[in-house]
Amino acid sequence: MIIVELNFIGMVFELFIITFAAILLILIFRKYLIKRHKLTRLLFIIFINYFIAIWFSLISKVLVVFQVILVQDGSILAWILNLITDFRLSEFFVTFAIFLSYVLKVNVFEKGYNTIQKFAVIIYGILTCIYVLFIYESGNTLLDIIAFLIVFIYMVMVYTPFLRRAIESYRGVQEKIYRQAFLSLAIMSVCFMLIFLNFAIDRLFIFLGSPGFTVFYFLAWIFALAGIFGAYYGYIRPKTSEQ
Amino acid sequence: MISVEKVIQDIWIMSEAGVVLYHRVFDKKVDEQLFGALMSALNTFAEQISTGGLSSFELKDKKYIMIKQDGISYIVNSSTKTKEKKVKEQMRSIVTKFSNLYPKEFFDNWDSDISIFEHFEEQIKDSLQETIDRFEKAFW
Repeated sequence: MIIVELNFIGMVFELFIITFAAILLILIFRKYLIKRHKLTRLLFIIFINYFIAIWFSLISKVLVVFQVILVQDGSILAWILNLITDFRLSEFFVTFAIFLSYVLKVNVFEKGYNTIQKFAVIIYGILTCIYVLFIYESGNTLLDIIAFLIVFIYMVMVYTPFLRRAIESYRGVQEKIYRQAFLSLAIMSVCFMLIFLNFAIDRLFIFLGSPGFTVFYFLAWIFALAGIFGAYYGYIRPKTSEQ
Repeated sequence: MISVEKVIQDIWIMSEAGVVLYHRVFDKKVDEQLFGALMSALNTFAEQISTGGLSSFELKDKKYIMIKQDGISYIVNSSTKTKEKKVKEQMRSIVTKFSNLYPKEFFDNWDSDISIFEHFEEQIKDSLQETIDRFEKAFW
């Protein structure tokens, strides 16, 4: 019973998060309608993927709260439902969003792709997708912890250079509005990286016998929320009043 | 297009003889008389500071910093509001780039043609401005 109650709390919390994510998504889409630029479209696709990831996480809580019984009959449907309940489908969409974030980072901050870095990001991304979708065993928390850590490392791979460039830009400009925007993007990068670290720690506690939904679970979503605000102040807010 | 208020605004690179080898002017609408007075002040200043020396002065709302290295004087200005540490950091980068591209030996055979230094523009092209231009086009 306690699991259902905890999942209910998680469901309400994630509903709150997904509301903010939906608002951000609408604002990015509005921005795209104004700008009609390929990078705005790319940002929109990135956040669609993050939104879907949150959506599937929410669905997993709904399945537990409404006590939907998953029949483990080896069917594709059972496999997909397992992937949803253990966050794997969410991790898949997050991985895709991270890869697109790398493309965005290169296009806004760099003069071109670094070949070695590009292949490292592509290969690691493919391996991450294979792991989160196929290296799975229902109830095996250790495999889930590894999955969270793999995605966390991918986040670090892409968002650390993003963070560095955002800080450099923050230091390089004088105007308050742009400094604030770059600082917001730096905060967004840190927050995004910390989400999966906290989820991994939460799973570690589950592995050690906790029923889950530890403080790290909530911290992860708080970082997601902070990241959403960072993205808003970094990408959307500057000069909005002029438009 | 957003014009970023740069940390370093104007740059002058002058030879020992006082010839301006390279200059980049941020605000092209500088009063001519002021510019004449400024160049005179810069020349005097450049003569006075010794090699490796660094000096600074304020004129109107701008702060000027000068460095002399291998007989070449580097003069930059910035807003008085800008932190001097930041300006010096960027200035050192400019000095290093110029002295690497045109070392002391280069000037032994130099035919006094200053057009050769026009290429230096590309070396110090502001990547930050490019980044901001991209952000402006796509998001801001």
